[in-house]
Amino acid sequence: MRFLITHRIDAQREENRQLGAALKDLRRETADADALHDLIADYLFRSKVAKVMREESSPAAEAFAELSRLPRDIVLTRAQANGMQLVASGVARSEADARKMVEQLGAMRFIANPRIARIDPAPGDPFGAEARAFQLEADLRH
Amino acid sequence: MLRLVLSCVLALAAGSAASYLLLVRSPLEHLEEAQENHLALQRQYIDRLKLRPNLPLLRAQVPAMNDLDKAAKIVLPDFDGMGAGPRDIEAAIRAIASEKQLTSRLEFSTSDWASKEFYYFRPFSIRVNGDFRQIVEFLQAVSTGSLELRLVKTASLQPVGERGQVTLSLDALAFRYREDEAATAERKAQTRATAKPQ
Repeated sequence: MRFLITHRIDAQREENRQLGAALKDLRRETADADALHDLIADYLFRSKVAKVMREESSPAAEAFAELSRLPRDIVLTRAQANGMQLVASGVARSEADARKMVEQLGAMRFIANPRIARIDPAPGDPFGAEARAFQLEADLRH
Repeated sequence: MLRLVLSCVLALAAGSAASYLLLVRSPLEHLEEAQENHLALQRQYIDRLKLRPNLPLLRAQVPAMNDLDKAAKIVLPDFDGMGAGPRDIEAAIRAIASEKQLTSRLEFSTSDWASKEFYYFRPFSIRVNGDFRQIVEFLQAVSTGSLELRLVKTASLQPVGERGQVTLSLDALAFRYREDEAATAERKAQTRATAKPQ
């Protein structure tokens, strides 16, 4: 019984050795596929990291460029992009002009959901008696 | 008599168990191990064999993939050591400022590289004055317009001095790819697993 089993083990080990040798040859033959897969892995992960970071980056330049298209009835005294949020303060010739500005900003590409967080009279402003100092908030989008 | 037969049977059973344990069990385990190895080798062989018909197609993709990978390495270069980078980043930023004709003094500061799972990042800050249009173009060139990946955390503009002049204060991050051996091996294993032919 033991002899039979030992014989079977030897036969199996020999078969494994032959299969191992064939596998080694096949690995050598298909090494190009490994190299390509490694290249793809590198590219995919690098691109994925870059994509995630790009999405998290504030599109500040684009948002500021859009703010510059506001009419002359609006004067901004500060604008800050903080991540995907925009806060700007300034003076409008009138409250109606401030509301109109919100409408205009709502139609822009990189600025979304604009709203006036605060609006107060701005006495003594060169814009005149109707002038309003405001603080604007908005979301940014890519 | 019955007692004698029972004793014989018990002795025979005990003898068989002992001889199984001594003579057969160990070789049987070796045989099972060899058979399991064979199955594992067979699976590997079949997986490899499935790659062979696609080899010409795969080889044809290598140049295009090399180009893509080269482009990805421009966007997110490899990390080249804790000491590397600050001068490169500063020089690139100053070159853009000069290109945009921002002649005022540009203040640049940076801190050390820090790491996350797949990348290193280095915070840097810029403060510069200029004409509104030039400043916005500069900001675009150092952030979304830059080939190399940079993340803008905060950017603020404030009017200063003459009409149309503003001050830009920018806090941003520069990145490098993290090529640790363990992380790389994990990525490659994942890609091979997803690319394995069915």
